[in-house]
Amino acid sequence: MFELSTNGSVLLNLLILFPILASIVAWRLDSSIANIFGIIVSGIELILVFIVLALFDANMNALQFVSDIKLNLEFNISYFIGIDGISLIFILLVGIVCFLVALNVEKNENTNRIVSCILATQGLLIGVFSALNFILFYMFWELSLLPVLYLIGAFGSKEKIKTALTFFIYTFSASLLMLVAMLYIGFSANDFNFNILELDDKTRDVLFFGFMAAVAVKVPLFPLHSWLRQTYSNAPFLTSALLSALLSKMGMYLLIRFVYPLFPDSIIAYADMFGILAIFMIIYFGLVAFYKDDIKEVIAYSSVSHMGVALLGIFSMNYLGINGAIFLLFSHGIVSAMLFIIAGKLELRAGSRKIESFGGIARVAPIFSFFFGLAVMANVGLPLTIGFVGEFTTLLGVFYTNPIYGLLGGVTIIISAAYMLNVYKKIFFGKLNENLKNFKDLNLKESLVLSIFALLVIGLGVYPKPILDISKSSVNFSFNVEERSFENTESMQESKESTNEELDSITNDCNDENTECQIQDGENNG
Amino acid sequence: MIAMMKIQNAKFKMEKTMDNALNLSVLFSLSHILVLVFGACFLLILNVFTKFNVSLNVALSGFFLILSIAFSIYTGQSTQNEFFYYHLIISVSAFFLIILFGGAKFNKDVSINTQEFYPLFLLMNAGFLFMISTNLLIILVGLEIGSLALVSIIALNDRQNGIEAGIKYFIMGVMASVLYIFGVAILYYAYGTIDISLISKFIGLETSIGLDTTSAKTFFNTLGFVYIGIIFLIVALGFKASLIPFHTWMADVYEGANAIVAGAVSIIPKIAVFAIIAILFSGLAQDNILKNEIWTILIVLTITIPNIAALIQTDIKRMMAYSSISHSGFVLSIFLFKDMGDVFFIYRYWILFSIANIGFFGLLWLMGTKNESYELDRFNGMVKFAPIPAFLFAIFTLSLAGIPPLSLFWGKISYITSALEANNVFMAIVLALNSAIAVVYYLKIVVAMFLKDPNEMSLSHKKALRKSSFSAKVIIFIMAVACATSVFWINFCI
Repeated sequence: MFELSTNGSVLLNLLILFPILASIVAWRLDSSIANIFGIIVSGIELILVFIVLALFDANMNALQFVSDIKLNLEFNISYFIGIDGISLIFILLVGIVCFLVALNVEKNENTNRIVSCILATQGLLIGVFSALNFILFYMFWELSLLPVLYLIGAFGSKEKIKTALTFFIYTFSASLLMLVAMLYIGFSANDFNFNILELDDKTRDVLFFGFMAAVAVKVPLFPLHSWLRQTYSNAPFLTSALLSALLSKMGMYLLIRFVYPLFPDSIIAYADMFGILAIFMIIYFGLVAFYKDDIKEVIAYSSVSHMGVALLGIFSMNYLGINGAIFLLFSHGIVSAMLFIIAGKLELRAGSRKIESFGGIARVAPIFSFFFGLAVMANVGLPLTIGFVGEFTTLLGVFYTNPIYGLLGGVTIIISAAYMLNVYKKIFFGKLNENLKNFKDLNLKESLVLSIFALLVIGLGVYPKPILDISKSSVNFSFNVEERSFENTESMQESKESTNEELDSITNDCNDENTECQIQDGENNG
Repeated sequence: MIAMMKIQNAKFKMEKTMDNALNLSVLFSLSHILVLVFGACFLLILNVFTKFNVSLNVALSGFFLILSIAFSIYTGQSTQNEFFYYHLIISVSAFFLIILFGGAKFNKDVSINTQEFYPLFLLMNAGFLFMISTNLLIILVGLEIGSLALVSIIALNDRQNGIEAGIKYFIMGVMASVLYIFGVAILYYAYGTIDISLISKFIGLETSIGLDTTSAKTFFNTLGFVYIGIIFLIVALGFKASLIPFHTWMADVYEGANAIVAGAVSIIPKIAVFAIIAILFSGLAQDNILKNEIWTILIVLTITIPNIAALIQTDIKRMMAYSSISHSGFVLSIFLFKDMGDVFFIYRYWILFSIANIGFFGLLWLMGTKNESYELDRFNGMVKFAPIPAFLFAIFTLSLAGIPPLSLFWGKISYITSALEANNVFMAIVLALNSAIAVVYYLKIVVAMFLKDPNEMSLSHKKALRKSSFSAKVIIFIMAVACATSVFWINFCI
């Protein structure tokens, strides 16, 4: 059991409550100032997150900022929140992404409602990532759907209401299975707080799959992804950014935080099954992304394909895999938010999302193509971008457990290079489309916002240690996996080298298959 | 033989208590009902001799209901009335509903708002309070008083639908009563008592001892014969409580009735009848009659079919009718998990349900003008021009849907937990999946209000809530707060 440290618990409560209360205010605000209000609130929230980050002691094996208030003795429901390194990374991601999304809110008559929903989502997600009581967790988990439901249903495109309902009901049904599993654990342990249970194999597996249903719909994992295309393509682009950057991480967080520690035996028993599923997802969604002609759908499928890598990392059951997966989730959150925001700007300017309707934009909008190029590179996992660190570490971890999975998982880099560069080429290079002669480049404000993304992408790509360190001891502690020290054992050295070779060969493959890759890099940097 | 002796003993005790039946303490324990009857008569006379004054009538009805609540708290504590909570839930709900009814400033234009309405409302309440007992004949008398008053109230709604609904309710009620009387006759023949708790104990006794029901007995003495009586009873009560498959009239009644009356129908008669079913079932639960697959199937159908039927409704009141049937199924399912059908689970669920329903129907009434339908389209885009009612509607709807942390979620998880504790994973999953089905139609209301664009019809009640009185607003607000904070108070109140 974790130790509990209650120091500074007010801060964490503030992190949850402040944006939720601010969202109520934002709803009543005039839409002309709601924009600025959103930026200020999420800015303050980000500062609060940084304060929490500064006060957080990464080396302490304890849940920190804990508050525990009994709400209902009979149901054993308590307002029990607290964070460790793993949660903190996700909270940091929420803070950063919501701030950047708030910066991108357009001014129109609905701004107050959009800002309100974004702030509500922010507070509820921080709640999800810090709740330590099952029912509290479930409460935040379900409530966080409501603002997203509204964002899609009210401001989406095409069949927006149907899309919103499909999304909601799909997720809600799966969560109910999780609820049943939670209640089962709750009553058998007579406690909804963390407890390791003694269960027989069959019950354990049933409960495990109850939880996995919720994970699988939220992320989404392969057979339960049918809401994905419709939702991502009909949602407004900021909502797509929220969905892919934050809401899909909820599923992975559930897996890391609750499912893994509760059902370690099931994780081991089904590691192969989920490993193969993850590899299938990487390849299948990658190929789907390759054939899509809608930018948003390409990004959506690319994002699920990357979730496959994270899943593979988690099921590798070692320190590097898990910590790498956590970093991958963090980096992917930032990169996919950036991609969706840029895609949204493209759509706004060109009035279309079809890839064919673009072409040669780099000539009229060089800054635009620079930022998009950077995001594409980060998504592909180019070294020195944030995407590389997560993918490399994860695949390294996978390789230790099962070299074949590692090899197959490495395919992700090839595939993602293929579809992302393909999209990039078609949109920004080639002949300039006649309709896009008046395509406006990014203005100063937009460039500034995107340079924050760019700084994060490159800065953390070059020096990822601060983020990796946050979760280091928590991962060690909660998964009982030893951190591998590369200096000590020779065998480790060897395997590391072989992994490097492996990765080199993959990169070579990439270069072989996409000869344009380097050329584009060159153009991009030029 | 032992069993028979015990039965004789019990009969003897029964007769002994019957002797003392009419002393003052009994009258005292009925004071909360008598005060309502007195109030009804008083209002009737008052309205004959003075000019009809709506606010005076509302105030007096509210006063008598408060008095009734006070008496039931007082007597409930002193006499340890086992139905105390039922009485309280019904009276308090009735009080809130009548205040809400008076709270709409347009209520003078409504055909239902006549001199007769207030006495009838009090009488209905008195009838259903009276009904909650263990004596089969008292149950019948109370049921008839309450139902007749309710039928008149429903039929007062001057739309054609109102009269149709009234007639439907009446015919169904009469049919149920006939079946009921037949069932009572059989049970009285078999056991010589009309006390329902004794009867269920006898049945439990006979089966637990494994009494031979075939030899040395005529058919009329066998358990099989008793079961026929029980079945008649349950069919009759099933009609009243609108269990599947006796539910078909319910939606028409809701549709035809005024919104507040529909709210009353969803709470007062139902909880009263369910109290009886609970007594009946808690006795029968000792017997394996309840562990039968038949019961499980009936309960699963009662939960599931209305949920599916509600999916295709476009009228909010019809939808709510089906929703309330499904909630009844939820409550009924507790008898599958808890041997005696833990009454606290039932009370708790009804309290949570009543709060959400009072809020929902109250708001529906305050939003309405006189003779309009309650089509979903009427509420399109409400959030744009009336955000506060829209949010309140969302709270009540999502409460009924069981979205955490709103009221019925806690009811739901306590039921699912008890299903799991009883190792009845099948029912746990049925309950969970039904919440998923239910959320689809509850969301329709939220979707109409929040996601669709306003149309002419919906714009017409732009200022609807402003036309209501302060007290009505306060009640709606209290209900919303109670829904949102139910986790804090739910295990303090019971």
